[in-house]
Amino acid sequence: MAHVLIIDDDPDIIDSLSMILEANGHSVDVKTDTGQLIEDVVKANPDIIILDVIFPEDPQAGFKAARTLRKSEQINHIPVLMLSAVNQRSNLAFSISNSDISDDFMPVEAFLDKPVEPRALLGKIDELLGVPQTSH
Amino acid sequence: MKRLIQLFDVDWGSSNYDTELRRTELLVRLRWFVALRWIAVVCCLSLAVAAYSRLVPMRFDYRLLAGASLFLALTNLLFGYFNKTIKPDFDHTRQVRYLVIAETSTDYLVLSVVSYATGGFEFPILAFFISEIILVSLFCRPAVSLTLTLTAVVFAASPMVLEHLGILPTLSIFETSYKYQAIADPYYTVGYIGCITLSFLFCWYLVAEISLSLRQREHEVEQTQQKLILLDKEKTQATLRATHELKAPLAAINSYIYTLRDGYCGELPEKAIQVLERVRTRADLLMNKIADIIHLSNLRTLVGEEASIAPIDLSRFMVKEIKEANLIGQTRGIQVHNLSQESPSYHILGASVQLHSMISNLLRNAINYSHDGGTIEVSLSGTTDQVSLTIEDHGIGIPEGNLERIFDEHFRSNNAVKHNPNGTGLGLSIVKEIARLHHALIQVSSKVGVGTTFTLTFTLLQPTKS
Repeated sequence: MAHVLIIDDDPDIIDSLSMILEANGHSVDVKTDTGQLIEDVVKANPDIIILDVIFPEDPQAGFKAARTLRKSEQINHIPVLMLSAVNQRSNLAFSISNSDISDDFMPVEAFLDKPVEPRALLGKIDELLGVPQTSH
Repeated sequence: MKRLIQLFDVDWGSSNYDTELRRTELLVRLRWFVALRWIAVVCCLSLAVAAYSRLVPMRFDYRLLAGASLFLALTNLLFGYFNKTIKPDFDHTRQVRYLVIAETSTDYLVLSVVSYATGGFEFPILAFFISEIILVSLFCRPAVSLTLTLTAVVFAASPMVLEHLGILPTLSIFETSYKYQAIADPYYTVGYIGCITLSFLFCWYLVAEISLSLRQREHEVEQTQQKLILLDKEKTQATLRATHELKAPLAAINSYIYTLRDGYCGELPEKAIQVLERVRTRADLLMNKIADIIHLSNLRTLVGEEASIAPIDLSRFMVKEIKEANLIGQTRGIQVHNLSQESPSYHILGASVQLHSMISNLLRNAINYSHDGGTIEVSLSGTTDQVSLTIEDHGIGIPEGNLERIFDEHFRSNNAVKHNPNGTGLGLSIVKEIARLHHALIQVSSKVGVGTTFTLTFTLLQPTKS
């Protein structure tokens, strides 16, 4: 089972995601902002990171954090799963989708819409960690 | 005087003379000059041949003309080479500047020699100095262009001064005593040089002044553009924040619903799960409605220039849209047929995000208001300058009296609400706004119980060759 680091400012999202992950045998660490990113990630030593896009301090903090993580040789092997409510269903020019994943804009391994179905979340984590797919 | 002081005083930001646009324009003009120099070489050489063969009555110094032609041809080869290799980017600013100074100085030298070889004030070669002064006054800083203008005065006056001082022999193409008298007269020489100086300086001032006004306007336009870019960025950030503020709580609510529904907080009775499912459906609808309201308000303030308009092949675009629509229709056994699979490419100008939103809205409507197991036909037909996209369903149809209101915000006809209670009533308002953005004509025909046909007509980017 994996050690998951959730980086999100919304306590309810953290709570609901933690419930799902812990019930499925994963352990969870939480970080509510993107400050001291490298130090905190190194300290938490997660197998996978779940990252929000919009933080109160900066609407693009999630993207910036993803780029910082990717640049760090110490931790760029840790897969990052990005979550956002400002997804394609918003029909806005800046809506995010899987097609936006790129090294210079959104350097993450996968993107999921918020709210995320528990099965989809667990399936994506297994996929990113190379665990054979099982029905959750 | 105030303007003269301004010429040197004004602070436009260091970039004003050195913008890439200005460097590109300057290089283009310098290329013109390279081409013009080849014409000058041919003219000069022809004049030398004509003078040598005595085909003209004037006694031009053909040796000097031939030498000047040869020198101009050789230097022009170099200038042509540098002009092609120097790029108008910031790294090459200094090279562009040196090239201007080198080309201008060479031209002055050649013009000075040719002027002497053609009798100085007896032949109007000095007028060509003016074109050089105009070029440098347009593109160089006033201090640089003034220096180059004064250099032009020196080169233009030097044959006469040198003749006057006896350093060079006096050349007269008509061999009249008038030239010799004029050159020997110090008052005439000083007066002549004074006239050249004044006319060159007047030309410099006039062009530099006009150039200053134009640059100040350019600067103002640039500042306004920067402000607009900033405003647009602020608007995008505000919309992003609003979208997030409105959608994040709903995302949290839905997350909790999922954890409850899937038993992460303990086993729930069947009735509670049913209630949760209804709460989730309503939360989803609210989320869609918020997305539609924000999308619509964004579209209302959007003009074509802001919408990342680019050429789009509508035929290819529709293949993707129809594939997506078929996936949506699958659960209810509804099929979307592409009747124009073999159609030629129809290129239009469109914003792909918005175009997708418009077409997927129409296709989703066609699916939502079709009967289970129904079919929808999509076709493209083009004329020489237009292409029409038709989406035809065989669903519930729209009552005739409601047809003119279907694009109004929140309007839904009674039969539509009965058939699909989950619509936001904003989809067709969004379609109308996106059609406006694309200058597309939207037409609808419908009959209750028979079906509805929407036709969007776009202007083609270029006439189609079928």
